[in-house]
Amino acid sequence: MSLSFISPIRIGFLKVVVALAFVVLIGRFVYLHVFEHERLSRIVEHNRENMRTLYSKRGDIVDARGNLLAATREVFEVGVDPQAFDQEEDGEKLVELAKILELPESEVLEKCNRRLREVEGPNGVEKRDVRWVVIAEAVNQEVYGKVNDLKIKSVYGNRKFQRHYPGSSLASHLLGFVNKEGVPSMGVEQYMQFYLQGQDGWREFEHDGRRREMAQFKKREVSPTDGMGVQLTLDLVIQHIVEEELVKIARDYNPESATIIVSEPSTGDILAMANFPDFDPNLFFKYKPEELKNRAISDIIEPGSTFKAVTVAAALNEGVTRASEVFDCGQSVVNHKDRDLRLPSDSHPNGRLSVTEILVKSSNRGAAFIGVRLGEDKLYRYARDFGFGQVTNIGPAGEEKGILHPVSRWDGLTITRMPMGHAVSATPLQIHFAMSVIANDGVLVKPRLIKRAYSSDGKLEISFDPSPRNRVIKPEIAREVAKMLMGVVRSDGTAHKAEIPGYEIAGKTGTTQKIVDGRYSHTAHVASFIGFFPASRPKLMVSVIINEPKMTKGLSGYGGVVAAPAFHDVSEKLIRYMGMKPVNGEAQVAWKGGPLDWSR
Amino acid sequence: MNKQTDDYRFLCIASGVFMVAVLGCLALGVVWVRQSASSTAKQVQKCEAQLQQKRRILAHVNEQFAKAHMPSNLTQDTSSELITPVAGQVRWITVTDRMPAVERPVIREPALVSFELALMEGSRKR
Repeated sequence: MSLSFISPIRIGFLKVVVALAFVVLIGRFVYLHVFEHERLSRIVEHNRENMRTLYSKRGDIVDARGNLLAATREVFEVGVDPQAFDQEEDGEKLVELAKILELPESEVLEKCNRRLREVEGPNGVEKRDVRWVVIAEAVNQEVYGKVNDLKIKSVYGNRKFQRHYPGSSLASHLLGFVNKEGVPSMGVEQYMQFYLQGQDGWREFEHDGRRREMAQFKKREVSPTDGMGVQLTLDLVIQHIVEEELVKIARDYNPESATIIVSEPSTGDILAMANFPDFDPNLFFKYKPEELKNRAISDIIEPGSTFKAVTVAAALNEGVTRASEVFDCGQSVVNHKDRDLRLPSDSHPNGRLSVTEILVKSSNRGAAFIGVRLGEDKLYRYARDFGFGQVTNIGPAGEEKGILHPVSRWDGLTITRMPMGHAVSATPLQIHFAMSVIANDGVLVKPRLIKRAYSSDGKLEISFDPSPRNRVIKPEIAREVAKMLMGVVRSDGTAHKAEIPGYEIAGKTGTTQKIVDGRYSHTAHVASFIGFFPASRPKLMVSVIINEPKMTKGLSGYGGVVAAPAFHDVSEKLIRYMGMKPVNGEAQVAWKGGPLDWSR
Repeated sequence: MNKQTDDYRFLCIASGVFMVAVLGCLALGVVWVRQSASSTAKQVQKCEAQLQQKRRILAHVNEQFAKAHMPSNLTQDTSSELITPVAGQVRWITVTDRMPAVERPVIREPALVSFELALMEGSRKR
């Protein structure tokens, strides 16, 4: 066909239409690329690009020897999508699934068939599809592998971090726990959060149509920084010895609570600290709040007779008395500032006692005489210097500072009552560290629980060194008092059950009457024994405090009866564990096999 | 003249074909490089995932190890095996005597026998 047969109008019209079509097309391109560019680019990027948080792993907590106390593990939350669950195809596999997850079969079946849920909507109760039901909250890699092997399409797991404490209740009060939301709630976990938590990272990447990450289009990535590890001064074995003893105490005396603390006097290192009742941080949600309390730092009690060591040390340091000076403890009244003050009574009548005997026999009157001699201001100052009325700053939250009233708030009898450990209250840790002043040549040290924080690659290490707080008494006075305290565990002392021949045990018993209904109770006691050994070169300080031991008929829950034997048992095990050499040849640590010959 | 025109035409066509070939090769090269980058990236991703998995397993093993080494577990497992050492099984060794004077540490108290050693000796003698 020749061109001459086509109408020029038609061809002209066609040209215009084609030209217009191109104009519209170009116009559209211009519109999309210029005017709508930003919005469309955003949509495209949003569909293609993705941002993922790379979670950091919380640091481990280890003991002084590197044993793992708290770690973070990756677990799987296994669940089911009931809408995708096929009863015919997978029904039989549920028996196996229930067996693997150690759950009742009926429970698993019920969860798989929970297809609808009722929701309160604007038009009343509505029924909606259930797309996810948790079957097991945290299963490990091994178990999840077995679950995967079943190949149930609708059952799968989501990875998550979970804090785990391999020792279960071991050192639970010190470690604390991390709750289900990942928030540390108490103990070292909370105190060292800054070091433990780490820093999350992120990755910007593109994904394909199935939302799978396309590695080749990874744009930017900031790697996560795992949390630092924290090493404690705690010794796992010592902690175990202490907790074992607490179990025994709980079984024998069923007390309200009990605390044992072991430390190194020269550094203030806490080697063990445990309370009864305790809890398992892996299952923290099953316990009552009072069981979660670290009573060693949050309960305040009157120190009782253990405070007499403070009174005597202060008086000797001030030179107002000497070890051999004799006081008439038969007197019931003392004159102080032109006033006759009634003295507290002793558990059994004492006659004339030297200062050493006052400590050994734990005479309340004797302590009151020394306190009166010392005077209010000095007694208060020394009590404060020994750490009473102020927090020890051990670290974990919840520490109480105790009660030590200023002299202006004392009543007329306080000067005769405080020297025997009444009218002053302290935490078990404060009492422990007050006594460690005597074991540490007169210097009060700050308790050290954290040894260091370290990065997992070993590039960064932050040490927490021991720190002395203040000198309280002269070294020679401290040694003299330590020598006097050795008498407490001899046959005529109040704690002969704490004696371990050859190891120079020094200590002081305490039996505090609890205040019930505003009055000192005759049946409810707090029994304690705070001691250290060897007295000439103290290596270990052990405190046993038992709150309201239930005694069999006829027996009283005195410190020498209840706490001293526990001290003995713990110390004996510590000596064996630490391989401590006896100071002299008379050692008879419970190495079985009769009398020992150390010369071999 | 005609031959010269043919030569030019051939040269043009040859240049065109050559350019198309070069461009084609370049394009294919780019595709190949991209494909290589993609497969390498995927391999790296796979390695990272494997490494991550190994780390998880290591953490799991460490945790099991720590659990098994808890004193409560150890005593449960070995309570029938262990005995308290008798006096003859405890030796006090003075470390300083065995070291040259220069290397001798300042120790206030001589070194001591370890509990474990005593236990091992005890088990053997039982």
